[in-house]
Amino acid sequence: MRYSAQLHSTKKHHILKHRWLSGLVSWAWIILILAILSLVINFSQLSGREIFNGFVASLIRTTIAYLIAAAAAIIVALIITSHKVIEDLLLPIFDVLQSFPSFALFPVLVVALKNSPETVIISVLTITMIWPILFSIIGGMKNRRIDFEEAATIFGARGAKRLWNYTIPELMPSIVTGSIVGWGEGWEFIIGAELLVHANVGIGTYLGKLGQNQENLALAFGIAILLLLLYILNKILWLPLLNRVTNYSTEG
Amino acid sequence: MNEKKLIFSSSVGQDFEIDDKKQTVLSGVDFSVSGGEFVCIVGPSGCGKSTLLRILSGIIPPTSGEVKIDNDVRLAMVFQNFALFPWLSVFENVAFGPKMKGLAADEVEKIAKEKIQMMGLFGVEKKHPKELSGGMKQRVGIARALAVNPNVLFLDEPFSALDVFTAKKLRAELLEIWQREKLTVVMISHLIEEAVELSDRICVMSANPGRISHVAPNDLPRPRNKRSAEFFQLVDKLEAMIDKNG
Repeated sequence: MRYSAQLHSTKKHHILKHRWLSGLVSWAWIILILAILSLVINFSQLSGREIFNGFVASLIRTTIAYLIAAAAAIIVALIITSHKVIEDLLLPIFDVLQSFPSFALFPVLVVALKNSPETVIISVLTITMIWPILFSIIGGMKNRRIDFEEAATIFGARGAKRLWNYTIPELMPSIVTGSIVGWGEGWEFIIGAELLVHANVGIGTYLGKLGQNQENLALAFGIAILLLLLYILNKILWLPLLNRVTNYSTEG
Repeated sequence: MNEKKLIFSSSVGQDFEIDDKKQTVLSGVDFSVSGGEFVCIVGPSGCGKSTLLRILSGIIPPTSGEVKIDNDVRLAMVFQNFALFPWLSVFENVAFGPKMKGLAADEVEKIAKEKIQMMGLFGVEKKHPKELSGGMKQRVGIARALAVNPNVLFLDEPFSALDVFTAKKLRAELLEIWQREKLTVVMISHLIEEAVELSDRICVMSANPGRISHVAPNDLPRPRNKRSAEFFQLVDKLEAMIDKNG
């Protein structure tokens, strides 16, 4: 018993030490990347302030669009999967809509929202980001364990309490995996969207300006910096979230 | 045991649509359970035992017939594959029912701690289901069920995913809980010995479509001697009933 307890404690200590080391390595990588970034900015013709402001503006737009897309995707997925008739009716429509290119709506949005370029960008991003999140959640709803559903019902989970204490936590693996894809697509589209509406500030606006001025080397550095910043964001936000939710996807 | 029927079903039938074909899973099932009774439902795989339990619990409505559940019934269920929420710790799983009832946080905590203590889970409250053995998971499943203060406990093959030693220990604990808490128990099992060891009455189901073909009262004195001639006689009788029904 004492030996077993000691072994357990040693194993736990080893796991904790391993986690601590792995966290340290991740942060060391991030600090190294940030150091490289500042060196690149110093030695190139890039403006550190413009890149930083542009990235923050684009990050805010992407985050707002993501939050709207995620909330809408959860609501729509819950409605679609609530009844077979609704699913049979709506799923084929959404399947066609998701293959419709978001940029095709751009002229319509620009005309409709001509006084608000920010709303145009966020609308296009939301339309782009919603599909992977929506279909991932629908997949999650279809693959959920029926006995979890029954346990939630038997133990009295109803209405809003059921949503917060059972439905959303159970769907978290699908929400996070869909979000990672949606988030990536959002960054792909924001560059084009900022260029098209001539946003005052944004990473797309800045990269567009470098391209127009034919500062090709600076443009290449700018794209590399954007990739590195997105890598850092992935490392500190999405990967830890993914690790956390995949841990509890099926066990129980 | 009192004579008040807590759950009662009459001519219950259940059809499912599989690949656009109607399949009758249950047909004409009459069942009832009285207060304080321990009833086991046994039968071959696929005869609709679990479906019947879900209909009796009100989780799924029957296609035909009716189920009446007494207003005093406070139902809880223990699942074959535990069905513990993997995103919650042991403590949070046990506290789930009281929390859903809308009890105050300190009351929820008190109940969860009490049931954790009762089921010998002290020290693992902060762990998550995946860190537990099968036996521990089912202890959490039972603690979660008891936390809603049930008077009727449904168990769907609760020991079939456990090793024989753990299952034996948990069976003894279940009997102790049934007697101490004065519960009414309806348990699904595919093990006839288990049903004879635990129950007051055994309902034998046959398949295609699922129905209750025989009901055998079990008057063997408690605690039951699993090596007695009477025990083996009842096991043989039930086996013959199941074999006869294919």
